[in-house]
Amino acid sequence: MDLTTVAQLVVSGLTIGCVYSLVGLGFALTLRATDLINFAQGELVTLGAFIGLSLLGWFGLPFPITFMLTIAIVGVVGVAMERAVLRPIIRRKGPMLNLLIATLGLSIALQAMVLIVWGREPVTYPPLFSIDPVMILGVRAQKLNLWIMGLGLSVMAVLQYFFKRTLTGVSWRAAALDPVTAALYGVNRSRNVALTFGISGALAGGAGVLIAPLFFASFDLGHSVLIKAFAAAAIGGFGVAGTMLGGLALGVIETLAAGLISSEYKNIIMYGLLLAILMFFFRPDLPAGRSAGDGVRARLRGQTLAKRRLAAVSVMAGLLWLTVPLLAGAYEVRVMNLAMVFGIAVLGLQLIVGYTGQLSFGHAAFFGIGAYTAAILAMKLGQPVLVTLPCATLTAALAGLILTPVLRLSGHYLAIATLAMGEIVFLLINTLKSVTNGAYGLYGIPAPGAFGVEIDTDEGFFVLASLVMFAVLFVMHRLTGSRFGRALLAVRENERAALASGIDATRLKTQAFVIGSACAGLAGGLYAHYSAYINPNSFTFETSVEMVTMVVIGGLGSMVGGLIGALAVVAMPEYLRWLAEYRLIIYGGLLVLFMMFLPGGLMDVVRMAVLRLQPNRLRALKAAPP
Amino acid sequence: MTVECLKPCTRPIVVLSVGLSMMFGVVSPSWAEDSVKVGMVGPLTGAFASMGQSQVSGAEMRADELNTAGGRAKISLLSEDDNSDCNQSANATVKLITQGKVTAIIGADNSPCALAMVPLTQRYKVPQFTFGIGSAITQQGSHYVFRVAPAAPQQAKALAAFVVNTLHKKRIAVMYSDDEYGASMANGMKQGLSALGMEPVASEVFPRSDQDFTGTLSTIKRAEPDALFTTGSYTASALIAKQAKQLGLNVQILGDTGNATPKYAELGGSAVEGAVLVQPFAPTDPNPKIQDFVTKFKAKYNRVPDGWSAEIYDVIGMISDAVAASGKVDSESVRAYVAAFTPEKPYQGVLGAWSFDAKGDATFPLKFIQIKDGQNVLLGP
Repeated sequence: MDLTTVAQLVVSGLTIGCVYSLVGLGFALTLRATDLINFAQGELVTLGAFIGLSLLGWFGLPFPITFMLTIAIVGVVGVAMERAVLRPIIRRKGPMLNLLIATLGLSIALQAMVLIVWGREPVTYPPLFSIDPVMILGVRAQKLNLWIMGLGLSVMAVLQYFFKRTLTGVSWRAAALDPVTAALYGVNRSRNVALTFGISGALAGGAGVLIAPLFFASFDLGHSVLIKAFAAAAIGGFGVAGTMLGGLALGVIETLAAGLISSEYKNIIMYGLLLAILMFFFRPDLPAGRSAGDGVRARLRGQTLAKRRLAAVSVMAGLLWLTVPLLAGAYEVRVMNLAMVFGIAVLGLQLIVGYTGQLSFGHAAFFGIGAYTAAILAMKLGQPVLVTLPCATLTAALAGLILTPVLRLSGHYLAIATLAMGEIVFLLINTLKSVTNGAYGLYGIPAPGAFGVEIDTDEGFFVLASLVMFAVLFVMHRLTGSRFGRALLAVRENERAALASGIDATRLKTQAFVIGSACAGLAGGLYAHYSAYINPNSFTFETSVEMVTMVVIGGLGSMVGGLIGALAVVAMPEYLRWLAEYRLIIYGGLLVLFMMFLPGGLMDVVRMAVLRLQPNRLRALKAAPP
Repeated sequence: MTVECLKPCTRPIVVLSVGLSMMFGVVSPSWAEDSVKVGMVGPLTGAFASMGQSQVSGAEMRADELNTAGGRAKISLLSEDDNSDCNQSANATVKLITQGKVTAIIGADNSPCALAMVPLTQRYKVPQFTFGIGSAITQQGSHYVFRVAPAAPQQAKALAAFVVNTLHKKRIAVMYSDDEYGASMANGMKQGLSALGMEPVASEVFPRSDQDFTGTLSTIKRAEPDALFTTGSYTASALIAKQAKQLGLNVQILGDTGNATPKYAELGGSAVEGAVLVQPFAPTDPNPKIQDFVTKFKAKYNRVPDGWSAEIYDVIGMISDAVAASGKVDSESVRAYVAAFTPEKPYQGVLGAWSFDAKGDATFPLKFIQIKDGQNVLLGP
């Protein structure tokens, strides 16, 4: 290994690192000002790339002017987004997770819009500079890379100056540290938040114009740097200077790992390092006292239905559900089967997120572990479903137990740590070819069977999945209604207060996490048997996000709500298919609207319907003090 | 206890009820009775939509031709978008078979999704035609699946032989995406080289979403290759070629059927000039049959057809022939008719003479093309 190559790699790493920093800064700023992970940040990058392309191509503007104009335009888009969507949700004091899903909806809708306006094919940027390399001490550097580094670093310098030296910047920092005290000193919070979204948008737009010439302008451009930009922000502790350094370090490490060690392991190395940094530097000494479920009203059960009625209604609803295959066709049954499989996983996630308030972006990893365990046992050892499903459940629970140290982290650090964990599991599934067959996946997984009966029809699976789902639901119902469940709620509402009342929060969180992972494993096992073919791509970050969406759409802190959410998220793309390209705009838009107007999720609709049927109870609840 | 949203709840109820009525009051189009219904599953949205679009165009063109000519059972096409999500491909398959009552089904276009459909088409006994290249698709023991494209090992092996024997390259490096597609191709290339007593000088995998390949390329550069085979997507391949040039890695670029779209040359620009690609179909092929197809396709869709359109164009022809031969609209007879093609008695289509082996893999005459001045030029077989 000669020094020139290393220097070469460092230059490339710094270039891509600049991009991570710029996008990551947007994350860090919105997070500091509003406690929000803005998923739409990536799409603002894409928007910047295409607006820049149009300015260059249609109006023939020179590059520096294009750069400035794009920054301004995307900044305005950022402000508009905050005004139109996020502010109303913040004003209603919706839980942080609702905001998160709203930004996810915005991101899906924005991406679909970019796709419709600019097309789905990647587009090359007009050549800005000659591609003859500049030789600096034997290192080949592209003029473009130097420009990116120059512009990127100067933007960061301006930002640093703004926050350190200007009054607006200082008051912004004050408000981020302590909004209430800052407000007493006359800092206007809503103006501050608008400013934050403006700056974040501008940064994303700038990043878009800078990276698009390096790669291509494509509708998924921003999405591809999203995770790493988020990681950059987390490494930097969500500070301004920290994020800059974090992004640069990430870019250099990633490039060096690919160049010097192996590209196969580069992402495992990166995410492993990220986890280590998080665990080492960002483990709070004291619980933060806030959680992902902040703002969810504590709901005791028995609120909508009297206890004796609940049992009767549940049994009736269950029996009614089992008659569905008699009425519906194979296709509808199939959609419901998938919804139930995801529903079982979501029941577990509901316990982790909805009850305990621990945000997890890695649930799909346990789903995958369960699926692979069941598939391997069934295929290689010929085990029946009565063995494979319990084993899938146990393996996932064990994996959950091994990974519980991440629960020492809280809030956004936990979110990013679970994300890294999920990615590592995905990468391992992909890499351990001898066990998992790598990217090819496992095919020919036998249909579930027991006692000589093979369940190879959609209707048969419906009954199996329903029974498993009812069993899990019942266990969850008993669990959340017990002292354990109440203690989880206490941890969610206020961890410090819970600790003070003698609740062993760490232990409880661990238990909830392990039980939740076990549910995901069980669901994964069912999924493997049902689809007969699995490959690693079914268990990515996207799947995890989808599961969180199910939880929130259904209603945080409600088990039945989680199931309804799973059905809605699985069925929506199926029944919106006729909308073609507009499908994702509608889907994203629906997510946003749900979060704006239905903060309690679909479960609230069910609750209202149930209450309407019992006017007495409704009146009593209305009269009761909140 | 609080019931938080007493008032705001009323509006969402309306939204929800509209949503639910959309869900259950499924719009079921009325399909003509005495026609051959062919279902199509593929991505019509998302990153791979151009593939699904090619599939639809090829099928539509042939169906229109046959229906206009008349004298045969009408072909009606039902298309479902899967957005490259394999759960959706499987759902769409069941929908097309049980609700649409299709005789045959085409798709899915992403290999893993096609693979996920195989158990279903087998269960419902409906012939499935896919141009997914993943080798496992036809290895599940189903008699109902037909691969209408050159399988990954087949094309990678052909490319390996061509590169070594005709281009006289000795040191071949491989870069492949970490999904089923990339792995299949890279493995095929490895097998092809080992059949010639060689092995790749470097073999590096990259995550599908990666856009910066500098690190990986510098590992490749250290192996001093004289040719670089990249596989995964045409976008990634074009980017890799560009970044290789910037690193001063000037080698022969090689690619598979995934790059056989004009978009590859457009994105890669000068970096992919001289690249050699393997494919079953070349629009510049002087063969009058192909030229006729290209002219008609251009007139209808105002773009140059790719191999996918040509493959599906032939599939619709096969299905129509099968129905005409047996005189009944029936999945089983279509399957039997198609399975009976042999190298001695092949199907004569726009792609030349082709047939299927016992597993359902099509055997194709493969061609090699080179990018010259941004155009795909035929190099001869």
